[in-house]
Amino acid sequence: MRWILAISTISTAIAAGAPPAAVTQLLDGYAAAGAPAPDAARGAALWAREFPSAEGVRSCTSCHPADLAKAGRHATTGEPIEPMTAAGRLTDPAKIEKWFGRNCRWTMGRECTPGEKADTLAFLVGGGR
Amino acid sequence: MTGSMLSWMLALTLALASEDHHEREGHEREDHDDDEDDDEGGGGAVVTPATDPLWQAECGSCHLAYSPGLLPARSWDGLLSSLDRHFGEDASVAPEVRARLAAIAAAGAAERSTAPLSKAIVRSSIGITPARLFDVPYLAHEHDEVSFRGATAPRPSACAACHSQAASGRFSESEIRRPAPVRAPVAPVPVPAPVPTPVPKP
Repeated sequence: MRWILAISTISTAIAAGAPPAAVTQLLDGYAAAGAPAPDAARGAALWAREFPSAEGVRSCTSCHPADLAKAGRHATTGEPIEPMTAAGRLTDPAKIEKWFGRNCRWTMGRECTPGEKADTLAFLVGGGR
Repeated sequence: MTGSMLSWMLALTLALASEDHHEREGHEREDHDDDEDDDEGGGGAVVTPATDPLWQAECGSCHLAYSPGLLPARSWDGLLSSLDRHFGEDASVAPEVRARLAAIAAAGAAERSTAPLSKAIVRSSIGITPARLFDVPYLAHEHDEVSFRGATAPRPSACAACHSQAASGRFSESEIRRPAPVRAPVAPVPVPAPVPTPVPKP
């Protein structure tokens, strides 16, 4: 089972091209912090998962569509958000960490674990496929 | 001298240089504005636009990168000190980014600018610390006939939905891109009669 997961993760990465150096660097850090092997399927499930909050149900898809190739819209300001697959995304580790911080707290009401971040990155670099 | 002191002084120097630049821009704009009639025509509805790339990137990812000249420095202090609770959003930034944004805000805040709209905002904000643009009585008054309710109405934060040149710091009525949705007339709310304060008997 582990092998199948590993192979599917690798083939997903190949399909989308090699992950940006920023992603590799962050994944190494998450692994060092105890994250299990990144799993795009778990990342996809987390992306769609709904979390209750005082202001209503929240999820990643409150702002980013489930189809990562489509543009999103800021839930509060209505400002357009570039597709997660847009060129230049996932190339700056500090920026990725900044948005994980803000968006995990907004969506889930807590920080993401290293494992959740690793799974989400695996999902995002695969382009959602 | 420590490294952090050095970098702080550098930031201050940059901030002052940028302020000088803004001041000059403001003067030019104001000189130009003298030809216009008055604020009502919109010619005076001008602020020095936000041009700093860091300000643009950090503030502009969720809403218009508002010019620092749209609020007094004390308002920016409050906003930048509570980015983790930013109108219901978590907009926190790294401490070093926050410090740079604070320097930009301090240098370009409304009271440091000679742009006409900034001066109007300063005059209107005496004695208060507006937390948002529509807390400035002048700006609230200018928008008192605009409806921000309903699915198709613009969000109050989205200046550019109506002000086509908002990103360039221009908010004149002549550059409004579409008729602002006008609020339906509201029946005046009856003012309750003042309750007399009971005078304590000796």
